Amino acid sequence: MSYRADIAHGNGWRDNPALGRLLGLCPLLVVATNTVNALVLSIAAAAVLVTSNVFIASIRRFIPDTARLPATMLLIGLCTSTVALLMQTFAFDVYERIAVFMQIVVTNYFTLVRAETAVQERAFGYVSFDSITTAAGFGIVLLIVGATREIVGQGLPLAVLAPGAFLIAGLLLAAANALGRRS
Amino acid sequence: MSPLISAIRLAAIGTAVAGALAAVNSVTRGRIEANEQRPMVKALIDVTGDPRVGGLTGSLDPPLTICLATGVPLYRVRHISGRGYGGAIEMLLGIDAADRVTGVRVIGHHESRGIGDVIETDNSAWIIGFNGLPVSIAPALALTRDGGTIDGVTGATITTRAVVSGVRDALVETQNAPATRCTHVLSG
Repeated sequence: MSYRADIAHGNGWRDNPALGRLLGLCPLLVVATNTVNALVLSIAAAAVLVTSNVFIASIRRFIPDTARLPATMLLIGLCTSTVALLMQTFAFDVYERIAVFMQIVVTNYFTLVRAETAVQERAFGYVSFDSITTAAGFGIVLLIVGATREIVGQGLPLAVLAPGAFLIAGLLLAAANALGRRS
Repeated sequence: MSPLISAIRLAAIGTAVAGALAAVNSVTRGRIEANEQRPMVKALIDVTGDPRVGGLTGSLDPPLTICLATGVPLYRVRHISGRGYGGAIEMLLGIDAADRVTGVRVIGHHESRGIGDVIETDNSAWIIGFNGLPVSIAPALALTRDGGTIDGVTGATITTRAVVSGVRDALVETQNAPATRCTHVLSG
């Protein structure tokens, strides 16, 4: 397998942030009540992930080793706040639906894990490809959960409530494991 | 790398981040504030029935007295809060210069979906029924089942009663209030 295919396979399937590492579950369970919310949050999270990682990678020689965590948090925070402000400027109604979870994208652990990769000695292309595939892996799971809850919720209102989110995410996890996903 | 250099670099990153964020904030602030006010502007147009109100600038927190450029008052807008089934029902009330209600609109509520939400214009024309009522009717304003003249909505008695009594109290206050000064002037 080529190394790009390997990264894509790893981030999108084997170590998928939501299914493999069980990260980012808070927005996954709360925001993804319908397809539109899920799509908006996945685009926003992808924007933060990709811009912050490219940003961090481009100044990585300047980031002091002993203060790597605070420095990367500052940069991720900048990207998150910028995306949030731009959304409030150009897509206010959409932003209102995911406001709280947009602001805490900064604390999504998988964003930080990717940032750790970005500060290490890695090629620029690797960092961008790595963060894009991670974002896509997370986005696809968000969309599946959102769409499922919206469709099932038409007949079974439980699906759009919190317990429905746990059930659907759990079934999705079981399905992924049954299909042979091993991290 | 010595600790001092690390600290200086971290401080430099922090300063740059703060500066960048301040720049983004100052560029987007105006548009964001306008976006935040949009629901209020729409509600003001609805309760006065006058699209010119959409052009008002500055703080739009009620109570407002909207005047012509000549200083003649046109509309008074008050904020009303009623106690509904699910908590506070927030409303705006518009009154024109002839002391008639120009409109009542709910701007926030926690009533049951599908039952208590008849007070929203999206679901029912019920709240339009206040339009044109004279301020002087206030003390007698009540649901028909409470001895008044306003028809309630079956299943949503508590909700509609809260709206009616909120409007009644606000109208009584308006009757007793001294003449107010202009807070906003319509241009054009």
